[in-house]
Amino acid sequence: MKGFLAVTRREIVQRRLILAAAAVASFLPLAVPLVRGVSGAEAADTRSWAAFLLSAAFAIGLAVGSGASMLAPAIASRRIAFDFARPLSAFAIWAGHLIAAVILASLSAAVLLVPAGVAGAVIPWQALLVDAELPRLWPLLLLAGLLVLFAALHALSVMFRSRSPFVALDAVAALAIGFGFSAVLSRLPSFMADGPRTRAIWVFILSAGAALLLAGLASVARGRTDIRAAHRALSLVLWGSLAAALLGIHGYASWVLAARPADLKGFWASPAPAGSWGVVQGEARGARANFLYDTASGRFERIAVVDWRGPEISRNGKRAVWIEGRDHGGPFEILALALDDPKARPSRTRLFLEGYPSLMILSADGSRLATLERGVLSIHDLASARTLASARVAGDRTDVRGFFADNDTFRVYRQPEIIADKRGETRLEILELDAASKTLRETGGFTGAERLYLVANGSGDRVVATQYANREVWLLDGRTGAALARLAEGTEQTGRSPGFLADGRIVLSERSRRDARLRVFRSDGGEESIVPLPPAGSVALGGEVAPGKLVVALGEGPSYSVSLVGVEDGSVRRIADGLYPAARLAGFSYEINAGPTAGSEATKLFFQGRVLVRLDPSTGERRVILEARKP
Amino acid sequence: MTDPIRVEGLTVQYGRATACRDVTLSVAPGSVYALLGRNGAGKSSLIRCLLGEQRPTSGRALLFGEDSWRARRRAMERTGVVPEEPDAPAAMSARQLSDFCRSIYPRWDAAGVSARLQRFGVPPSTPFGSLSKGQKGEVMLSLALGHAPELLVLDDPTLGLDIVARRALFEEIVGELADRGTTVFLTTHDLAGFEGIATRVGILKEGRLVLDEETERLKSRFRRILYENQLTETRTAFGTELDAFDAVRVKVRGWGIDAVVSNFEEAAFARFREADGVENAQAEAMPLEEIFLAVAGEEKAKGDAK
Repeated sequence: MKGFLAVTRREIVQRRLILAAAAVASFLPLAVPLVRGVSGAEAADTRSWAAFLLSAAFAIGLAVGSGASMLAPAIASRRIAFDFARPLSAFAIWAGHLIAAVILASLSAAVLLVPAGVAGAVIPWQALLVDAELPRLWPLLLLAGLLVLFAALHALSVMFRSRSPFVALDAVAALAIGFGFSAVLSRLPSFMADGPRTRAIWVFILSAGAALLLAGLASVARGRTDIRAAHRALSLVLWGSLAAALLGIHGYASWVLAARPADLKGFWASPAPAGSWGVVQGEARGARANFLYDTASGRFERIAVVDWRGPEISRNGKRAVWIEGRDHGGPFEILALALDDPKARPSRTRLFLEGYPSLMILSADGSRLATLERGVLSIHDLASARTLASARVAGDRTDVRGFFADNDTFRVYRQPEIIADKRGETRLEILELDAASKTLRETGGFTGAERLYLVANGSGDRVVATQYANREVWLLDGRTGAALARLAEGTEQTGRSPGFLADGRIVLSERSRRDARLRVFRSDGGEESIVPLPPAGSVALGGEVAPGKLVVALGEGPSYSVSLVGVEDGSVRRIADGLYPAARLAGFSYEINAGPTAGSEATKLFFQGRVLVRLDPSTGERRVILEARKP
Repeated sequence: MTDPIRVEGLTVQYGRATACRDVTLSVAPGSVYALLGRNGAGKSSLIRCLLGEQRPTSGRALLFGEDSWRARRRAMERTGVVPEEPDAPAAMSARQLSDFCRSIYPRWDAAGVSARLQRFGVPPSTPFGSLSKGQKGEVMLSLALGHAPELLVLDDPTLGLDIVARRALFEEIVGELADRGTTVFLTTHDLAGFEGIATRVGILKEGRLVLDEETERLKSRFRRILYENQLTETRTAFGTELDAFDAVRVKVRGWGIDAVVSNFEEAAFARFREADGVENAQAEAMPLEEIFLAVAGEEKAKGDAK
C-alpha cells in the first residue's frame, strides 16, 4: 500500500502541469457564448454544454493518452527498471500509474467545470442520461470507464510496441472472442430471455474491464523490463480471461436453456382438447419458457416462441405447431411436432410467414393450419408445405375468430372491434374460406349485437353467442348466424358462462348476488332443467369428465371448490377444495370450439395454487403433475 | 553467511539468440566482483536477471539466498542499483526522487543523500532530465546508497563520465566499502579504474563465463613473456617451450617472441630461461585490462601462430 501510494503521488507530481493546463482551459467555455453571439438562457445553456464537452473530452483524452504512454513505453525502453530496482511490488507500480492517471483525468475534468459552474452552468444530465439512477452513480461509472480506458490503451500500446508478429494472434483472438460472444448471445434472444441476455452482456462488459485491468497488471508483473514478455503475459491473461468469461456465459446460457418444466417459477397450463399433451408457460431461470408437456409421461419439448404465444395443438391432440422465435426480421418458419410419436423431434415445415400471425388455428386432425397475418387469412397444408388459399378478411380494427369447419373450410366470425366509448349495434359476419375452390364467401351473420363472446360445439354447426354488455345469450346456427333460440334475456346483474356438452346439449351457468345455478338446454335451445348450485362469487365450467357429468368450480374470493354436477339427476357433489380447472368449456380462445373433449385428460387437470394436479373425480385421488419452483 | 549473489546455470535467450549460457558464479559478502566482457557478451542480461527484472530462460539467480525473480521486492530492500542508463523519471528533481525513495524504503537516509549530492555538486531542484550525464550517474549512486544497502549493483557506472565524475564515483564506492563492507557487483569497461577495488573478476565471452577468479590470483598467474628464440624461423611450429605456461596469445616479432601466458610459475620460468634456444627471457606483470584483452579479445594464441 505504501508503495502504491508513493507511485501514485509521484506520477501525479510529475504531471501536475496537466492540472494547470486544465485550469487555463476551463475559461474557454465562458467565451463560447460570445463567439456564438448568444445571450441570456441560451448563453447559459451553451456554457453548460461547452464546459461539459470540454471536460469529458479532456478526461477521455487524458485516460487514452496516459494509457498509451505511461507504462508501455517505460517497459519497452526499460525505464521501468527504476521502479523494479526498488522494493515496489508489480501491483504498486501498475495500480499507482493507473490510479494516478484516473485521478489526473477526473481532477482535470472537475477543474474544467469550475468557472462555468460558478457562472451558473449545470451539467445537462437530463439531455444526456435517461435513467434517473445514473446521476447518483455517475462518479463510479466515470471512474470505472476511465480505468478501463487506461487499461485498454495500455494493452494496445504493449501489443504494438512489442513489435511482435504475435500481434496477428491478438487480432485473431479478438475476432474469435467477438464472434464467440455474438454466438453465445444469439442463444439468449430478447424475445424469450431478455433478462439473462442483459445479464450476459453486463457480465461480459465487466469481465472485459476486469480482464483488461488484470492483463495490464500481468504485463507489468511478468514482463517487467522485457516488452515481449509483457506482451505474452498480457495476451495470455486478456484472452484467457475473456475466453473463461465467455465459457462462463456460455455455461450460463446453457443452464438457462436447459430449464425443465419443474424449474418454472409459477406457470400457466393449457391442456389440449384431447390426448395428454398441453402447453405449459412461465418463467424459468430468468427467461420466458414455453413447453409442450405430456402430463402422462412427463416428456416435454421447450419451444422458442415470441411473447407468450404458445404452440397450437390440434383438437385430436396429435400435432403441435408454432412460429419460430426470432429477435429481428422475418420471414418466420412454422415448426411442428408430432405428439403421438414418442421419437419425434420438432420439424421445419418449410412454410414461412412474413410476420407474426394474429390468429393461428390447426384443423382437427392437425394436417392444415389457418393463419391470419395483417388481415389476410391463409390455409396451409403442412405435409406439402403449400398455402392452399388466401383472402383478406379483416381490416385494422376487426376482431376475427374461427375454426376449421372441415379440413377444407375455415369458418370466420368477423366483428368490428368495439371501442369502449362507441358501443352500439354491430353485425357479426360469418364467412368461409374454402381451400378447394380458393374462395371466400359470406355465409351469414347476426345483427343487433354488441361485442359477442362465442362458443361453438365440436362440429361447429351451432354457436352460443353471449353479449358482453348485458349477458344476453343466443343460440345461433353456426354457418348462417340465424338465431335459433334466445337462451337467456339480458341482465347486467347476472354472470353467465355457456358451454356445449358432448351430446349437443347446452349448459349455462348463472350467478347473481343471491344464488347460482346451472341451466341445461336441449340442442335446439329448449330449456330442459335447472340445477341449483351453492351460492358462489364466481362459477367456472370445467370439462365433462363423463357423459352428463360436469366439473364446476365455485369460487369465493381467490379460493375455489370443485363440484361434480350430474345434469341428468341434478346432483351436485363437492369433490375437492382449492382447485381450479385447467381446461374450461368456455375458456377464452380465438378458436371458438376449443373446449376439452368429453372424458379427455384435460377435464381432469386442475391448478392447486402453484401446482398442476390430476384429480380422479370418481375417487377424489390427486396426483401432482407439475409443481412450480418456490420463488 | 549466505552469499549475497549466487547464479546457478543461468541461460538467457532472446528467440534464437543466446545472451548468457549456463553461467554459474557467486559473490561472497564484502567482496567486490567485477564482471567484464565486451559489448554484447551478456553482462546486462545477467544483471537484469540478477535484479529480478527479467526471467532467465533456465537456471536461476539468487540474491541473499532467494530467487531474485520471485523475491525481488524483498531483495531490493537490501540492494542498491546504479543502472547503465540513468532511468529516473525525467521530470523529478533529485530532492523529489529522494522524497519518493524515503516513502518506500524502511530506512532512508535523506540527509546522507542530500550531503552526497552536495559533495557531487548536483543541484537538488533541477529536473533529472536536465542534468548532465555525469550528474545523473551521481544522483543514481546517491539514491542507490540512500538506504545503506548490503549489496550494491553497478552496471557500467563510469560509462560516459568525465575524469572528475569518475574520480568522485570511485571515492564514494571506496568510502562505502571502507565504512560498511558493502558487497559490490559491477560490470565495467573501466578496468583500470576498478583494478584496485575488485577482489574478484569474471569475464563473460559470448555469453559464457570463461573466467571467474580472485583478482590477485588472476594477476599472479598471467604474465607477458618476451624472449628471443633462435630456432623460431626454422620451425614449422613454435611455442613448445611455452607449453608449461598455457600461452593464451603468442606473437612473433622481428626481435623474438611476445607471449601472454595464463599459468605462470617462477620455478618453471627459471627452467624456461635455460631452455635450448631461449635467450634474454623476461616476464612482466600484466594490468587487468591486458589480461581481459588477452582472454576476451579476438586474438587467439593459435590463431596468431597461423
